[in-house]
Amino acid sequence: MVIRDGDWKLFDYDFLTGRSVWVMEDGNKTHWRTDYPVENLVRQNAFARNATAGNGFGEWTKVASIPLNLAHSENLVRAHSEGDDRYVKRWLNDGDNRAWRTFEGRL
Amino acid sequence: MAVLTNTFQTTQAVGNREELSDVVSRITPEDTPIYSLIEKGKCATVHPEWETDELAAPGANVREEGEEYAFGAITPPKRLGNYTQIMRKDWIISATQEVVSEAGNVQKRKYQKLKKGVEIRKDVEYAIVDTNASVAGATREFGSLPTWIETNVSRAPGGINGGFDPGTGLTVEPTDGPQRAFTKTILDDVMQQGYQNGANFRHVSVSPYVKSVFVTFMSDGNVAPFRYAVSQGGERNTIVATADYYEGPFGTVMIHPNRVQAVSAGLARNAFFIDTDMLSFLWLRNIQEDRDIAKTGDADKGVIIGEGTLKVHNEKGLGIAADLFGLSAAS
Repeated sequence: MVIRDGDWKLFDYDFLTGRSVWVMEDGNKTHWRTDYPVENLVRQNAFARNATAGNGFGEWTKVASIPLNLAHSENLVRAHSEGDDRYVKRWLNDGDNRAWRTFEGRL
Repeated sequence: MAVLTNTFQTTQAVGNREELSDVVSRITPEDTPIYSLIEKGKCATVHPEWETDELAAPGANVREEGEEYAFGAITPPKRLGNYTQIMRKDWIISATQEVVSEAGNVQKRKYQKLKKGVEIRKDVEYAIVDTNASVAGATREFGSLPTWIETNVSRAPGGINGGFDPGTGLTVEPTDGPQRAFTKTILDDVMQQGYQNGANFRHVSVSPYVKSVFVTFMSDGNVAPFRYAVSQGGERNTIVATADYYEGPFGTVMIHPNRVQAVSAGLARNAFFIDTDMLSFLWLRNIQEDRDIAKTGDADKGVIIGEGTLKVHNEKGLGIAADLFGLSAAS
């Protein structure tokens, strides 16, 4: 059975996270789309930001929870492997990415 | 099906002209954290070898005036090696099935090919995190990550390191100790050892449960510990779907949930600390489709096959916290 969303065909679905991977053929290219439901994550991150507001950097501080596909597609994982901390920190300090932050402190 | 509101999407297009192995490597890298993190190289034999050399430990160096020289022996570099492993996925579709499906034959075959390609990559990840010593001979196996690491290790009492045996040229399976809960002490222990041995742990790959334990290692003692809000409809799933970025005493670390490690307790009991410079995957034969399968009977057959091995440049750059409860608080 093929589950469709317009031209997209469901390739993989993960019940635990609700992640779905879709594939679309347009003749000479294969398009991939990964969907993550992030509502819970955004809410949880906001909750964690508020809960840890005012704390100092301690021994182990979780500063961000980033959806996996975003971490890869924004090259955060690669930059982190290569030791480009400045790039990662700039990305995390950017107000646009505040939804993924779990700690207010500036990195 | 419509996409629900607030769904975060990434889309990418992959052209047909690329090699299957490239395509397979680029689709959903988050499914195979370790394999996606490390560099992919090439090897030319079924038993690639490499050497590691190290500086002597610093010590007192005091000499007398007018002393006669004496010459110490040179320690030769260690010679390490691993064997390649052949991995295969295959399918067979009856000719009728090809016809009844609305998609064309090419599409159908291609779809199978991609699916099997992604599956084979997960098998590569499985082979990396599984505990299997290297095996020479016709049915070769590459020594997996847990069988290499013997320096930056935290094991339960009774657990014994494996490691590379220069005598046989094979890796040795570690002996499991009794399982224990993952604690901050274990984490700091491995991080500290790694730091002292010159490793630069940037990534930690763990089973989703261990990642949820990780979250409870809160900052400093005089801060109220952080508790999750009451779970609302699948709140827990966020643990599994995210990479967490930590500021720790030894720099910044990214924690990746590895769903392949959640396959069984044997895989989930290890947490891997990775310096991506110290690990690579060498392909002897890239993942590819065997196009020369003879057609017999009323069916279309396909095989995807690849052969490769794990290269541990230096196990001192890697770490492992073993014998953990990896699937739940008691397993």
